[in-house]
Amino acid sequence: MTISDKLLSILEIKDELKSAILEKGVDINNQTSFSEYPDKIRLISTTTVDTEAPIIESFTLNINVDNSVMFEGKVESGVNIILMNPNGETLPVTINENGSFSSYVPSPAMEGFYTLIVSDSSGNTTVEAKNLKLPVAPVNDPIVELFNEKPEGAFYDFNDLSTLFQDSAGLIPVTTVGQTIGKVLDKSGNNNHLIQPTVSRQPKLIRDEETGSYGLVWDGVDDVMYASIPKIESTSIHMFFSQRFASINNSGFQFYLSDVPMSPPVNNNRSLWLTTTYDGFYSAIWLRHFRILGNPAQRSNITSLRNVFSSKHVKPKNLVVYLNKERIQSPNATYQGFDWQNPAPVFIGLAGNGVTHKAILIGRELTDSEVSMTQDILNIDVGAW
Amino acid sequence: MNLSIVNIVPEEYRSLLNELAEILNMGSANLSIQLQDEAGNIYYGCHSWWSVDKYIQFKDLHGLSSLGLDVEKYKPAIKNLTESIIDTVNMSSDEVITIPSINWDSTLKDLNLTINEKE
Repeated sequence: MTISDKLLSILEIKDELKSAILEKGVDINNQTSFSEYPDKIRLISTTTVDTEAPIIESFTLNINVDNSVMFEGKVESGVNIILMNPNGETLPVTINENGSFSSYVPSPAMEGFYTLIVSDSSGNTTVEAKNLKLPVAPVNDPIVELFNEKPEGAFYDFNDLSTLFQDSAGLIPVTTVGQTIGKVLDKSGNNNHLIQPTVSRQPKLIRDEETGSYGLVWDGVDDVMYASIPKIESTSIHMFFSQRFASINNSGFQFYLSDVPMSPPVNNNRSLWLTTTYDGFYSAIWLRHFRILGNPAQRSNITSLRNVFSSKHVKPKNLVVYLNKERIQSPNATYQGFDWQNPAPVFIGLAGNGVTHKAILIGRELTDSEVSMTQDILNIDVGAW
Repeated sequence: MNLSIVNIVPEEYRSLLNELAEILNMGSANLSIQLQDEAGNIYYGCHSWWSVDKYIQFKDLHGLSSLGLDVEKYKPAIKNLTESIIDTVNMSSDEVITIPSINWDSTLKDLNLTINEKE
């Protein structure tokens, strides 16, 4: 190699070094002498390298009524995101400049873990996954069949979104979790629909992440829904509800009959009142063979009072039944009656704390197998057995 | 409806706020729980769920004006409204269940209020 070749080679190397230094964001130009290059390179070495993982501010999924799903969330701006379905396939994602993103998965969305991968230009990555479990299909038929002979009562299935409305007039359907509930249709055929016209007293729809079942979450402050019914003539009433309680619970949950709609409810002198507090567990409870006589001068006889908590969720804190404010301590005892037929109307109501998936009131005797079947269905909602 | 909001207002502003809520199609008597401080002053409170958009609309006096409402009439009541807001958007359903009671109880404790009666 001649001296001229060597000089040309050095100039080429100098050009490449200049380009490399520029790429690293350090100012350099043709007037910069070769002897200054080491200082320029030292400036590169002091540049901070981004090692912080990108932030996922939020990542949520909402299941629509038709079992399509909308993923939404927010990440820090300027990052790349990939959303993969449980099969590892990449889903189309819309992302805005501020980092808000969304992705719609058509019905029926695949169940399983959806993975969000967020990466920045320095190669840092953050991963978060959401487990999609579609709602349990309403298993209401066996319970509806309990009403085939047209007994009095009501059946509220909060896992059946087709029965839920955002307004008390029943004009605006409920489509997704988070919406507040103004009306619930009675599936018993008795048209004892629950309503609540006042927004602050409306519960809202929530979905149990373990079972996939929808339910109404009550705020424990002022939420209540009620149905006005003309009268009750039955002399035996069964009441069931499937309930998950708040871990912090100071007011419990109430399922009641009364002569006032009560908002918030009051355990008054003219009511049948089933109430319970329960810390952080699921349960399925029933009150059985509760006999109410239709004359206030007579006394009600409790032929059987049973409450059964699921084997999964133990340690029931409290289940109390009141009749006309008198606490019922045990079965096979008599208590002051209440004339449910006069005056009318009577209200069926629900209020309190936690999440309710179903509530059933049947004005007739049930067989043991019918009771067992009802319990099994309630247990599906609350993940018990 | 991700915002858990506890509203508390002195008794004198209760009817105005309930009137405003009714005009905004939120039903009657939203502020329904009577509260009392140590001095015997009466307040009314409630808990409700709001979406961010709806909450902004409620707090936007210009927006209320555009609905034809007399903003000056309601302004003192809104200014005297104590709000405790918890955003539950990133919470699991397990957590959401507990939030209303936590919000309500802690707000009453912070303000030294006790429940007087429920209507």
